[in-house]
Amino acid sequence: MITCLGDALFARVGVATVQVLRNLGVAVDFPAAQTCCGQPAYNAGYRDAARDTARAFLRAFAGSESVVSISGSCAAMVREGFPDLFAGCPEEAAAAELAARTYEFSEFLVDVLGVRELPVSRHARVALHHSCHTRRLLGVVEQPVRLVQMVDGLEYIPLANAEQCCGFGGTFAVKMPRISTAMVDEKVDRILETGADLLVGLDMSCLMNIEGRLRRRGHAVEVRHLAEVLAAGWRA
Amino acid sequence: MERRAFLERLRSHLAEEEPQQDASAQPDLPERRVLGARERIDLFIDRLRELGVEVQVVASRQDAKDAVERLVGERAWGSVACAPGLRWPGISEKWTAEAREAPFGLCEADWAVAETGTVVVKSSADVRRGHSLLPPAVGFFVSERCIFPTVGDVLHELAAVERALPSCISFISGPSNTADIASVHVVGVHGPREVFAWVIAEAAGGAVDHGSSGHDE
Amino acid sequence: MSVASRKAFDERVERALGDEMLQEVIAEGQDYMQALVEPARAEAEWAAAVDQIARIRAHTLAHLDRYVDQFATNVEERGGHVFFAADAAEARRYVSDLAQRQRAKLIVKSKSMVTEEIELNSALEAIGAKVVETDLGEFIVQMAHERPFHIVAPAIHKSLEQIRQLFSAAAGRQLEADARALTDYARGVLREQFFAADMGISGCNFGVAATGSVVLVTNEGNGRMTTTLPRTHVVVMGVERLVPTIEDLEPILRVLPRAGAGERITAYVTAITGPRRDDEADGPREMHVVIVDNGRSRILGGKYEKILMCIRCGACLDVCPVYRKIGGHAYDSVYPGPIGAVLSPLLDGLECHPELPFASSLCGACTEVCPARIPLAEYIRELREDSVGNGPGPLAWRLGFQAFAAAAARPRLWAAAEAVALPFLRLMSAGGALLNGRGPLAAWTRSRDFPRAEGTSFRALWRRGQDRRGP
Repeated sequence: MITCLGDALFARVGVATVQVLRNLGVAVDFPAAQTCCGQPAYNAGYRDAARDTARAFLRAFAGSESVVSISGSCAAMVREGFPDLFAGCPEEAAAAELAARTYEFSEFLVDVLGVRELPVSRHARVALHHSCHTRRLLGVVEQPVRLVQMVDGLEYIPLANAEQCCGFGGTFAVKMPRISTAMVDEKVDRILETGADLLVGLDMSCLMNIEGRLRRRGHAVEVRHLAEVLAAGWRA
Repeated sequence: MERRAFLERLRSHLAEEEPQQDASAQPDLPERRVLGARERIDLFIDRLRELGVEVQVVASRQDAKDAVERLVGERAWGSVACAPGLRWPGISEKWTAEAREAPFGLCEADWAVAETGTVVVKSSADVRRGHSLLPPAVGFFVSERCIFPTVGDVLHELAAVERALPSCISFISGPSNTADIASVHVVGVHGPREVFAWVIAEAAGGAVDHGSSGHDE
Repeated sequence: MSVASRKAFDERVERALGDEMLQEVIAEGQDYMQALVEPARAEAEWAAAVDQIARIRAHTLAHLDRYVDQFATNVEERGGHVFFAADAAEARRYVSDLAQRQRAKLIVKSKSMVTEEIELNSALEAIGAKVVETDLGEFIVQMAHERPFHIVAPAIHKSLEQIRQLFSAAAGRQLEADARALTDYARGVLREQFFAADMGISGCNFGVAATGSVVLVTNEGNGRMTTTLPRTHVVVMGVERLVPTIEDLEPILRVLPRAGAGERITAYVTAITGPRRDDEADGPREMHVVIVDNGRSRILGGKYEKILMCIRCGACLDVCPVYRKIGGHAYDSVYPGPIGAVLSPLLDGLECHPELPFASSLCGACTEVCPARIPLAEYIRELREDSVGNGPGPLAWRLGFQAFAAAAARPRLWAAAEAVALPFLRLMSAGGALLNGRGPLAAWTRSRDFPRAEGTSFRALWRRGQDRRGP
């Protein structure tokens, strides 16, 4: 699952994800019919638009063995949002079935592929952003930490107030920009406190929010999706 | 609104169904702590101390009375608010029923909870609510026999007398306190500021073991 | 969302964001509470208690009419009077009529959010009674003529110095800048009021249906004073605040003090059953219980029903990242924070609080911490559906999402739309500072740089890769 955001703005993350999966021996396909999981519309309250979008999503991935998403919140939409969206609809069973084979990237590597070591090097002080939906809706907390710790040369520094939202929240970021900015400012402060030169995350939506504010405040901390770090540092 | 109409309005929003029997009572409780008499007293005392209660373990009721007399003397308290049934000749001129001006109130705990350091007091014709509330310092005699492991155990006792509940039952855990002013913890607000407890741990013979409540099996 | 309403909301938010001291106080308070609650939540006993609470409360709500009936009967059997208030106006009228009949000149109150909801104080003041809030936090905000800032700690936003000034002005002399000294001042003033008061009004944390008992969970002792000293005791309670039996209190008492105040148990848990008995020497001679509906029955049996399971612990406020920034007053409602963002629109109507469902990033922290298992974040999201579905809503958003959905359902249309959008995104990226705060994405670029655009979509890259590799 490349996600609408990934497709339009972060193709490099998709490329990195494919690379990593292939390096791990996974046959990767990209069903071109995929567009969006419907989360933006769903969270904004536009249920019908969300359902239409989600229906197309169900069709696009109908034939896939597993669906791996570069975004935890999109995977959460499929696992938690679809059952609500399709309750009582003809697609209900198909949605449940798809949810059962949809994963977030780090979860797929650690829990499904059973990755315990990685031939990856990268020297940096690294902080990790968990993102709320990944943490709370998917329950994915340990997996990205373990993957980061498998990278040779990364010094992992836990973030203070790590479970606090970065302030993206989808349309919230543009509907309530002052509150959103205040929230991301605190997240940026916590990241800067770690002295990290690299911030790694699982959701480009959060990362784009944090990076946008970091740059505006004049900081050069590198911001990457976990897949990018793994792909770039993969030892041949 | 008239009672029937009010209830009918509630009912109209609810599904038609047979009322479940006792769906609420005591389902699947986690295993209750099993505490021996000694453990109960020790835990109770630890919790009381954590709450800032001055606690002393005494071997007899007489020792408790002596301790109270000493304290009243030390503090030069002019009166002690207390129920008639609890009084004894020792400080006879100080006893009063009226708690409003008394510097010290003395009560007998009807029950106590080890886990939380709580004493439980019932109101009655003799035991005024004010005795444990109005004086700035209050003290409790706690017989070890009445110490239960958890709040739930005491609630269970109360449930057994539900038809005859007193007008006021107070679960008291430490002195009154607040953190409402700039999040600074202050002890002693409207209720008492100082709390004393004398735990009367009589010899093993008389003690009934409330280490585990029978109803949870 | 009307323009005026949004403007007022934005102003309240700005005021909070611009107040550095406030920002510090809220963050410290949240961090403090989280540090106390987190370890407790990890214990197995917590999960078991939370499960029980959910079961007991759900059962109670499912048979609420029966339990209200039983509760009322038992209160009356013990000599109390029960009044059923369909709405705020009825509740106000009953209490003020009672106060008038009894010529109550001085009324003391212990903390009750529902009395604020029904605006009881102003009704009593209108008949010439003096109403004194005795919970220290409420005493402070009453003096400052403000709404409570937090449902458990009403004056958490006030600094020591601000409180010192308030109290000093009331005292007519300069008081020390010391929490102990200020507390002693309040204690002295309020003690006189307790003894002189004609009537004491309290809330009710929980009513016990089987016994007609009113249970108060407090720390300061003002709850006990209010319900012991004045001649008449009036309880005002929401119709949903019941449990079937005394034993049902156990899991609640295990969780509420911890979730609300980080304590194992509060200093006082008081169960009041009827007025004083004939042979008793203290306690109120009369007891009146006012059971308030005020929109709660409308929520019963509906999709938001679980909001009625709230035990008013305040834990959601202690973890909300939005509350952390904007504080309680920005919500402009009796109940702030996540609970308020749901309850206030449901009780007052969405049109009274149009911004609240949108003042959330849906992070889910509230749902995660709620000991009553209320799906707060999900309810906030659903209120958005109610909001955009029924009201006109901003047309641009509706059309935008509909267009988005139309394109999302048609991959070729989607690819075509991308082909148009991508150059625009590249422009946004390249535009740099020039575009900051301007154009359609101004809300983003005013404070954040636009992401570096790659100029190509993933699907285009994939297709190129496929073409190169061949079949």
